[in-house]
Amino acid sequence: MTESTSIVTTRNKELTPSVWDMLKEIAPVMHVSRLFGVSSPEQATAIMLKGYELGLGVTSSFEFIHVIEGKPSLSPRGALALIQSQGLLDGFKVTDLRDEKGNYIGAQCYMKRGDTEYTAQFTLEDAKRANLTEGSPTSSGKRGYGNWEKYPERMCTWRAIGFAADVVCPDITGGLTTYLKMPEAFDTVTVDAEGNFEKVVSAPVAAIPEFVTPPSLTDLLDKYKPEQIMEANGGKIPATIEEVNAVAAKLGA
Amino acid sequence: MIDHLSYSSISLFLDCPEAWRRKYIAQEPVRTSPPLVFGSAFHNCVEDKIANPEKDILSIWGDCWPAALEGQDVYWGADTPEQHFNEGVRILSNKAVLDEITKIKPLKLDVGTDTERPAIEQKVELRVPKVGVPIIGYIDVILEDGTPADFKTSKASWSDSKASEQLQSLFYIAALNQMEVPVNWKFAHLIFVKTKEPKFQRLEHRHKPAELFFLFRVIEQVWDAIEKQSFPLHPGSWRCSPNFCDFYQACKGQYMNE
Repeated sequence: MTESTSIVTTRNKELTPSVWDMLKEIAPVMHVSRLFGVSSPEQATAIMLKGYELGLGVTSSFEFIHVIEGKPSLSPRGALALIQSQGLLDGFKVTDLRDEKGNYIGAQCYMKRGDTEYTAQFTLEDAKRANLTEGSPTSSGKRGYGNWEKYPERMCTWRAIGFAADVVCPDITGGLTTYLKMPEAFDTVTVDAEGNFEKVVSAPVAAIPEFVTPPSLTDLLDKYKPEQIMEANGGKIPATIEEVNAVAAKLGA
Repeated sequence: MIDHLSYSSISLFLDCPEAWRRKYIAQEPVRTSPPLVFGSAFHNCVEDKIANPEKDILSIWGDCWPAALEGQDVYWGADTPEQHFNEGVRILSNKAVLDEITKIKPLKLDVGTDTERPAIEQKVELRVPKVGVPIIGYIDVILEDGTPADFKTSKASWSDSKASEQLQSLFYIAALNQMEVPVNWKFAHLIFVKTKEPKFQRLEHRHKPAELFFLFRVIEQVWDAIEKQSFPLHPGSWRCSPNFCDFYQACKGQYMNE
């Protein structure tokens, strides 16, 4: 992962009157500064309170907790930060999923904590099915240019991480805290009417189809001479991942 | 949003990723240096002369110099525009240099058609696997034998090794190869040296396919760092100086001036 997840957290904080007074005092400053993207002092207070309960620092709370549909929710990045800061995972791996032509189709996240291990996937297909890729409607009626169009790979990665975190470390993330919207829609977990997990499935890794990472140009160079690679590509140096894959297939890599 | 890279952009990133961020992401204003504006004007002048051998080179220079200054925020320092204009006149009046310029013969494109033209300022586009944007550039001239070449102006002579190590050569050869233009694997640096007695250097090198793969690796890593928003400072670079970096005062300079 490229994002920094190094934050210092403290767990099990009790809410005391002095903490509450402090949050109320800080909130208007956070709102007026316009640096934290909150629409009111009350929203700032709610975010800081949620962050405080989870053990986040004041400014980290604004980075990792967003208000989604009126509720302060922990982002997948925040969930991972909390999990990693406590060193609870025995295994963690994020992999890009690609089809046989090497085209990006989604992301997969594997987490292991003690005896519980889970592999979550989130694909571009899932995103389309959940209408995430359309952007938000703007005042002109047109759809906005959203992160799903700009950074689909990163968005899939964080979704997969969020799902895995919700299953493997619900105690750390505070239960249903990541704003993934309808995880049940993707057959990953069962959620009751209150939004609590009814059943956390420890999916056997063997059941997950294995995706082979296509070779890169550097991988090909380990096996073949530059001239061979270019010859297999009609005399040209490969320009795209598709061409690299075609060369690999032709050379039997 | 970055929609393309160029050789100079990649070169800047390799010199200092933070300077690259300031220029291309933060879009902090940059000032043109006198050598840069001189190089640009000189380069246009030589290209014009090659395309139109019948024209008088000093009269071309008279047009190219003001055109290069137009719209530029040049930081002249102790220099003056006249000084640089006269420097151009001095070099272009040198018989040996002028003889060399007239020997440069460009390849002819679309021969026998209405669009027949010399291969000057050819746009090329390179694609590198895993790099989300094209790398765009312009080859100054493709010589008669198919060798791409680049004009340079320099205060001092170039060494053979300096010319052979330029990534720019590989970039152009790779782009031509991808565009299915037959390449002879050679590249020429045509250097005008601003010494007391002006000089012209033609440094030509042959490259190997393996070098193109090295270039691709460099570009892949630059792009990877850009995507990860990794822009470390590079204080050891030659560029990290008030003389060469537009961002020095806002960067290292603010610590040094205290």
